[in-house]
Amino acid sequence: MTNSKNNKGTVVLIEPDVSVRDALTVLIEGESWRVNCLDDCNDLLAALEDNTVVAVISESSLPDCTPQEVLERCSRFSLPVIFTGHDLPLQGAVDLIRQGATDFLDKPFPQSRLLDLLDGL
Amino acid sequence: MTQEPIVCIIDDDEAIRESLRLLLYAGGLSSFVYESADRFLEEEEHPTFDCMLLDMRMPGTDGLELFKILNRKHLPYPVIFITGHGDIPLAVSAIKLGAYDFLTKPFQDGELLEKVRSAIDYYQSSREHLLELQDLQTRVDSCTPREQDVMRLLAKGLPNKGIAETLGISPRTVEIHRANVMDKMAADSLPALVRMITMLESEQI
Repeated sequence: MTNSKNNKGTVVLIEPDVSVRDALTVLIEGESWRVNCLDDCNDLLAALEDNTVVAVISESSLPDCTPQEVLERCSRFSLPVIFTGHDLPLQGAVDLIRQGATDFLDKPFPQSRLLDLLDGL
Repeated sequence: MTQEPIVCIIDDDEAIRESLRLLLYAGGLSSFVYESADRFLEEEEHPTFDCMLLDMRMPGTDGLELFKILNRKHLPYPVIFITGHGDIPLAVSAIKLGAYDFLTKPFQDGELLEKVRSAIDYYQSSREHLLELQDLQTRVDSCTPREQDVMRLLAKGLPNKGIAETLGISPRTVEIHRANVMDKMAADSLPALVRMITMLESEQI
């Protein structure tokens, strides 16, 4: 993995489920982004300090913080946030959009939707 | 100007249409009912609605498509979408396009009335502002293109002479245009005119 190959910037991926995390990492790195994986919000602020970060993808149901907290931290860096999740009530997904999330992807989602979203940022 | 609010209901399912109408009626709200977006669009004139309940999935023009058409026509009333549970992507795109709210089937009576009332309150408080904007826009439209040029430059703070130079006309002509602009815009002072222009421009994003 050389720098020139990963030239679209860094995507911070917050995903507690290791298999989903691995699958998404392979997918996103395959399209020339670098991926910084986190399994919770503990190190989120530190990860966002990296100025190559261009977007955050976060599972909406995390053990240690609410999606609103994720949004709040990312908004300090003016970074777009895409949430993923399943079994989230529709109201919850819509509220996240109103609070400033770029989009919400209901799991399982087609890989192309995520890549299209990232490309469109 | 306090008319009874009117709700517009568009749903292809007759049972839902009827229950929505009855629930609203029980809550003291009258409504107009359409069985499809296409039927709604066929009508040339509609009453002034205060809120629209719009089914997301319908044969023909679907709810989201109608919403986009209405948006293009700058119809300002709030739209509440009616969706099924599995419609998260649709609901998310509707909210991103500016839908006011949505209801998931099967909904509770209280929830319906609460959302519709909130939409109506929101609309009525924003309507005055909108009317004022529309009125301003009408006045701007009544100015000739040249007068509008002069108006834009006036709003930027240019003196008559600067406007004359920018537009390549004589200061005397600028004076005449300027008098016409003040008259047509019903502005009693230059600051009043600048406020009007700023207000219009801040809404045109």
